Amino acid sequence: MSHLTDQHGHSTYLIELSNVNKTYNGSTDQVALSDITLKIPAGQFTAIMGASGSGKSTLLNLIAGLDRPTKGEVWVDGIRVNALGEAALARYRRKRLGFVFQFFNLLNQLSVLDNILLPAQLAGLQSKVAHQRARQLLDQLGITDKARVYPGQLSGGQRQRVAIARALINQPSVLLADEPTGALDSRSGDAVMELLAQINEKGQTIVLVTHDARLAAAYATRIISLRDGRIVDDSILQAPQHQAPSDLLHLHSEEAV
Amino acid sequence: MSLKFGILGLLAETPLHGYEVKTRFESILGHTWEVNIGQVYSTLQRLERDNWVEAVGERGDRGKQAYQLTAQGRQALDHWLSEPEAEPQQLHDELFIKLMLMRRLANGNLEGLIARQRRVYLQHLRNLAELERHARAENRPDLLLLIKGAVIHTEADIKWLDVCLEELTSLQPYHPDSEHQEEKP
Amino acid sequence: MRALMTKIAGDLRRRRLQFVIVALIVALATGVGTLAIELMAESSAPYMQAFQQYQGAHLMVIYQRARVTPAQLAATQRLPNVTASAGPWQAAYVPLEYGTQKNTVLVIARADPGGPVDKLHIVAGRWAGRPGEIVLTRSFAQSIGVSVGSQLKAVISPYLPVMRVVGEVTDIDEADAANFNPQFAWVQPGAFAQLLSPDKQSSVVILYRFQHAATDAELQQDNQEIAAVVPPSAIGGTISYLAVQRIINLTNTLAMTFLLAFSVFALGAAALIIANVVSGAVLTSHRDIGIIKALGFTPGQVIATFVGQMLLAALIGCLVGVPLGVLGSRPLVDSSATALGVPASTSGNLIAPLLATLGGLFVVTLAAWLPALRAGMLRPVDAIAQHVSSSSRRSTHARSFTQRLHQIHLPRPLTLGVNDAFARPIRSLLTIVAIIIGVATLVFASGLHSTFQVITNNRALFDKADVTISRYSSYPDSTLMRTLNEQPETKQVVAYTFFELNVAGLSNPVTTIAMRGDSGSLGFPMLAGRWFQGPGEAVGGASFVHEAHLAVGDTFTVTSNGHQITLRLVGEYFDFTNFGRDIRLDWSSYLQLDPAAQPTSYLVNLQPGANARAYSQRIAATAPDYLDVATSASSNAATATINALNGVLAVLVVILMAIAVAGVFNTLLLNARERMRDTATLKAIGMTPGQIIAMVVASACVLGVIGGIIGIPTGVWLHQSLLSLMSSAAGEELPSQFAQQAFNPLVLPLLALAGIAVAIIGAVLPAWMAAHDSVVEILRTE
Repeated sequence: MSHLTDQHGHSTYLIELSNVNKTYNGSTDQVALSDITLKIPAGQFTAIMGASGSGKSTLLNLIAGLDRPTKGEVWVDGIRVNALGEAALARYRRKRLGFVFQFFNLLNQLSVLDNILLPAQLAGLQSKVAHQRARQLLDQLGITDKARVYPGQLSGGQRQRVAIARALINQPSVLLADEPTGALDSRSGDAVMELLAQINEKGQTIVLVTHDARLAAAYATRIISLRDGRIVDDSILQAPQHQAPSDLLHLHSEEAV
Repeated sequence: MSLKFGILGLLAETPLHGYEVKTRFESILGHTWEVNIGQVYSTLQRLERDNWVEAVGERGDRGKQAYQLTAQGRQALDHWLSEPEAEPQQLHDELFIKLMLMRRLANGNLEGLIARQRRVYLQHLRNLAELERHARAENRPDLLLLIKGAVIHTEADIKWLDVCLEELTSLQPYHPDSEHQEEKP
Repeated sequence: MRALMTKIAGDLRRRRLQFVIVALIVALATGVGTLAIELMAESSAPYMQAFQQYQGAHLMVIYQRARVTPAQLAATQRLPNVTASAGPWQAAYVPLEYGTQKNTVLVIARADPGGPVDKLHIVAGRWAGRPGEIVLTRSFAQSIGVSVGSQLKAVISPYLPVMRVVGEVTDIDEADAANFNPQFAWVQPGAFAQLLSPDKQSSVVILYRFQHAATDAELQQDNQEIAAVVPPSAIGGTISYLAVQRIINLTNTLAMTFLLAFSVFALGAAALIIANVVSGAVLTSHRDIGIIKALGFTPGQVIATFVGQMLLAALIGCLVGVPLGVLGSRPLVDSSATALGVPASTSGNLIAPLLATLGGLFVVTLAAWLPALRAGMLRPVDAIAQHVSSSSRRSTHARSFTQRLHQIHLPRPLTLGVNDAFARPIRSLLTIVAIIIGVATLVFASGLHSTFQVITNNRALFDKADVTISRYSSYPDSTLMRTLNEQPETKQVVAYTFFELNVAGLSNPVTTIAMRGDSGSLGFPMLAGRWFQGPGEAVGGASFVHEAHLAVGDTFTVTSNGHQITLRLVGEYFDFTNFGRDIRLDWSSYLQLDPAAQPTSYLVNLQPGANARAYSQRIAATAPDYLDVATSASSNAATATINALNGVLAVLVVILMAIAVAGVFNTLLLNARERMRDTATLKAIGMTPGQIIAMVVASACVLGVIGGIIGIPTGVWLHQSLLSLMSSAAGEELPSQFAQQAFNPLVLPLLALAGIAVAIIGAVLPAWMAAHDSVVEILRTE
């Protein structure tokens, strides 16, 4: 097993996939992922990019334990995810993961506050602590005044903020975001990404799935490109260099007329 | 980007001398482009030769000479403004040639090449995003428009790379002998 | 039309599970409906028809042989109003022992089953020939569990001759063994002598048919004409065909009423569920509706696609349910035919199946059409534009309810589930009604079962004690009493005997039972007043009280053996056996009429925990030839009709509960389908499959609890209504304690659990499905 450990016996990586394969059985077996090996250290903002059908969502689902690899190992935060049973997976998701979806997936019958509190209640977090955290998150995400409001009355951007707050309430090891801006206009989308970047700066590990190169490049520090279920590129982007604007814009003065 | 019509456009507002043309131009473009003062002077001289601008007033201190638009120059400017750009932005021909050669040379690592190129573009997008943050912070809508344009172009470049990869890898490996057949419709 | 069919077929493929549910509930509902109609058709071939066919006797008169001459008897048969008669036949009450059971029958010496009056229909075996051969009624044979070839012991001291059953008949002049005691049995006249005990006087039976005998009054008149011809004390008893008819009608009305009621309920519950299915389908296929309308479906065609699907399912349901209903009706039809003394009709009558099918299809059409109307009215633009997730429109009631629930610290999955129960109020309401119907049926059935039990227990005096003893007159009462009192287990002895009292103003003597001991503790059901307490007090059966125009508190004069006393009526009591034409009084009163009287029967109640069987054997052993001892266990067997009714009741309960389960199942399936995204989200954020199941089951339980709570009073109310209907049909009041005894206040709340059980059973599969659905796809799509 290529599972790296530090001197304490813990993996030096927060997320580690080794030789992961995923095949969907159908009339013809469909290979969704083939031989993925991937290590993500804590604190990284990783974007997984690829066209639809490239396997990027499958990869996310494997990390989330919503799906199981056909072959290979998935380790997250010292937990061998692929070996967990259904109930254990649920507990794993509840404790270690935060989930942000494209279509928010808030429960419409619960208030914003109740939506945010839900994972805490499932995890059996002390009510006082949960409320405290929820208040902090509402403040941090700029939706303090929406606590008693129901999701149906919110804009898309606001809903996604609620979803982010819900994802963070249990202080997860990893925040998984699946096309979080896909259902938003570009302005709210940028605002949501800006929030994720801020959260990442405070040390939150984030795995983002997107097909939007601009968002990935603008906010993530590492971009993993998938194609046909394989990693075709894995680049760590440099901190933005202060270049002359002219270089960026490819403005070239014409030569003599 | 055309310096010639840029100067015509500035002179259409008010007569300016060479150094004023340079500073105004730079200001309009949001200091994204450092204009060479020599180039400004030589362009002005060429425009005067073509009778699109004319000198106005006395030559001032240190030989400063202001210019204004002629009727002919105004006509040329109007024509240029109303004319759509005939050509889209040029593709990066050099990369294209590299790709073609790689394939021809058969041992080329196409995916690697494309991946490296993608990284460059992604990094470029990242830099643009940083620039955009600054532009936004400095409240420069003119500059934001330019940056957005650049972003869209870079995204298009990345898409083009994806298409290249898709198309080229789906083709049969290149054999010089089959060149002739392959080019048949 | 072609497009319509294609659409229907496509929708059916997509909603297979619901299709199956609809077919199933329609099968159940039409099955019950068929059963009810079948039985109704069967019983509407009325008693009178069979009575004419078998030339039933209008009146059967039992004469005391010693007090009447053959000439006098012949004179009664020649009365102008008598159109036909049969007899005189010798007859005697004979206890027959079979295993541990002992039942008394009236054995009649009759040469052949035919003749001008009361033709007997032999359903098994043949007519009696040689001595030792006996013919029983089928009802009696079934009630004690014998058949042709069985051997019975006639308890006639000291011979105990063995009688072999050679035939079973149906007799139009008797009701079934459950309701009519004693039953008749027949032997050849030449074989009769061996059944006569030396100390028992034999009787003579004559059957009469009259010119005018349509009413009680006319029959009364006929009876008086006969009484005028014979000496005053000659008539030992009479049996009127009207009384027999009344019992049979009672049984049938009872069965009919609840069967009809519950087939209507079953159809109603089915309709509710179908309405749910269709409105659910309309809700989830708004887009489809918009598209097919845009493609050119008319509103009528849109409605037709929905109604068509349901009709197809219903048709399949009918094809299964109706034949099952026909099959299921057979046992009850047969048993009521046995009671009527006629062979069960085997004619393949198509009316019931047709009626049930048409009724079922009509109800389904209606139930589907109403919610489908909404789809028909939908504007295509709205339909296409409307988002599936319309669940954001939610009542604030539900919200605050959830919050309140959460405040009392119920686990989150449960509060979410409870909230889900109200997600679609109308759907939940319809489901609750289905549960109410199920629970009410259960409550009703349990009530009716205990009422049957109460009626059975009150049927005969003999059944009222742990041990019953009959004493032959040659064995002294005092000896028996001493023996009984010596037994440590003996708790109480009530002794009694039958005799006939002539009541002033009444032409016929009234059967009277004199009782010694604490007879009040036997607990006869009272209709009015109280039990007698001493000499001069009497209670009367309803029929007697009405006939004598008495009210509680009135006094009346009676004569017997030339003695005359005045009795005060202190109460009216319920007695099924003699149709209420009887009097009960204290032994002290009887002694005034017959100072030498001794009781002939003894009811012994034992101390708790005593072994009745051992006790009986011990008592019998003290004088085996002079005592008949029986334990109540042997005589307590429920009768065929009541068994059949209980069986049908059980089937009804199962069916209506099944429909309720199907309703819950369907609702949860619809809810789950609509709330798939929420469920998937919950799973993604860490709800375990167990918690999901708990959530779904909790939502079902809310419906179950509400349905259970409302179902109980509904069931009790139904039961009371049926009882009052029953008593009006029987022409006799039922004591209020029947209704009170029907429901144990401790058990009743437990029946509410049935609602929860229904909910849980219905919830298991949808909950499991919700817990194991793949999350991945759902979350990524809108």
